[in-house]
Amino acid sequence: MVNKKGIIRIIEASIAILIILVVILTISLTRRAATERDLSETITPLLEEIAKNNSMRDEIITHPENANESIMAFLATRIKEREPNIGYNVRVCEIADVCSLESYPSDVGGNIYVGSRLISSSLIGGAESKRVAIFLWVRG
Amino acid sequence: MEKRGASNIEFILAFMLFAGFLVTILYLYNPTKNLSAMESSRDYVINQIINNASVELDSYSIVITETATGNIQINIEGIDPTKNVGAVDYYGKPMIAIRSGDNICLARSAENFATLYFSEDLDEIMGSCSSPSSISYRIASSITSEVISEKRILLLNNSYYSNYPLLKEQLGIPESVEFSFSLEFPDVETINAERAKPLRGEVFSETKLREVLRKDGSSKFGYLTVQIW
Repeated sequence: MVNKKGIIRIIEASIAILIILVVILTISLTRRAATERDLSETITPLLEEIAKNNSMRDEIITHPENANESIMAFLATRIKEREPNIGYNVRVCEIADVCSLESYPSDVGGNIYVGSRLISSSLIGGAESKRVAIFLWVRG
Repeated sequence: MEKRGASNIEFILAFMLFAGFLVTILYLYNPTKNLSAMESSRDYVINQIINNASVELDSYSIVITETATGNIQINIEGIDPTKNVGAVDYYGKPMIAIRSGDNICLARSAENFATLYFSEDLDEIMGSCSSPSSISYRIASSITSEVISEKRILLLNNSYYSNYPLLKEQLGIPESVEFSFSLEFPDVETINAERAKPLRGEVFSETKLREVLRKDGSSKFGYLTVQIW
C-alpha cells in the first residue's frame, strides 16, 4: 500500500494556507472600514474660485440661464478630469428660491453633498444677487 | 516497494509551500503597519506644508469712478510697510503697481477696476508708473486671508531636493515616514517634489484645492497634493 502521509501533509498545508488567507482578508477588510469621503470640503474652495472669477461672476449675474453651462465646464476641468468617479451638478437660483437639484441623479452611490454661495454683484452685472449651489456625489 | 523517501519529500514540499506562502504574505502585506496612523501622518504632513507655505494676503478691490485714462494714485492707510504690492485687472491679468508708503501708483490705460494685493512674498515690481493723477476711485471691498505662496512652495521644493532629511526635521515629520508633494495649477504647470516610491506597500495621498499667491503678483487656485509612505 502506498504511504499517503505526504499527500495528507500537503492537504493540511493547503488548508492552513486557506485559513490564514481568510483571517488576513477579514482583518484587512475590517481595518478598511467603509468611510464615505466628505465631499463638502471639496465644494467650498470650488465656490470660492467661482466667486473670485469675474468672468463667471458676470455671467451668473447677467445671464444666469447660461451660467450653468459655464460652471459645468469649469467643474469638468476641476472634477471630471481629476476624479471621474465623482458626479456633479450645479444650479444658479434666485436668493429666495429653494436651490435643489431638478432631478435625483441615477448614479448616486451614497450621499449627495451640496454647498451654496451668494454672488452678490459684479462690475458689469451691477448689484443683482444670485445663489450658486454645487452638488457632488460619489458615483455608485 | 518502499515509499518512505517519497513521503518525506512530500512532507518537505508541504512545509516549503506553507513557509513560502507565509513569507510572500508578510512581504506583500505588513500587518503591523497601522493604517489610521498613516492617515493621521498624511493629514499632519499636508497641514505642515500648508502652514509653512502660507502667507497673509491683503486684497483691495478698487473701482475707478471716473472715465479718465492714465496712471492713478491710490491711497490706502495702515498697510504693513514690509508688504509689497501687486495688482491685477478685472480679468486677473497682472498690472504694474508701485508702492511708496501709503500711496500706490497703478499703471493703467483705461481699466476701471483693479485688485491690489499686499504681501511680504510679493516682489517689488520693476516698471514705470509716472505722473499718477488723482482720478476718483473707491475701495469696493477689502479682505485679509491666508493663502499659499508659490515662492514658499518653490523654497520647500528646493529644500526637498537639496536637503531632504533637514526638511523632514524642520517640518517635524517622523523618520519612518517619507513624503512627496506637488502644487498643480490647472492647465498651466506643476511644481513637483518627488522621490522614488517603494515598489510594494501603500502610498497615502491627499489633495486640497487652495488659493495661491503667484510670483507674478496674481492669485490663482491650485491643487496641493501630498503623498506619504
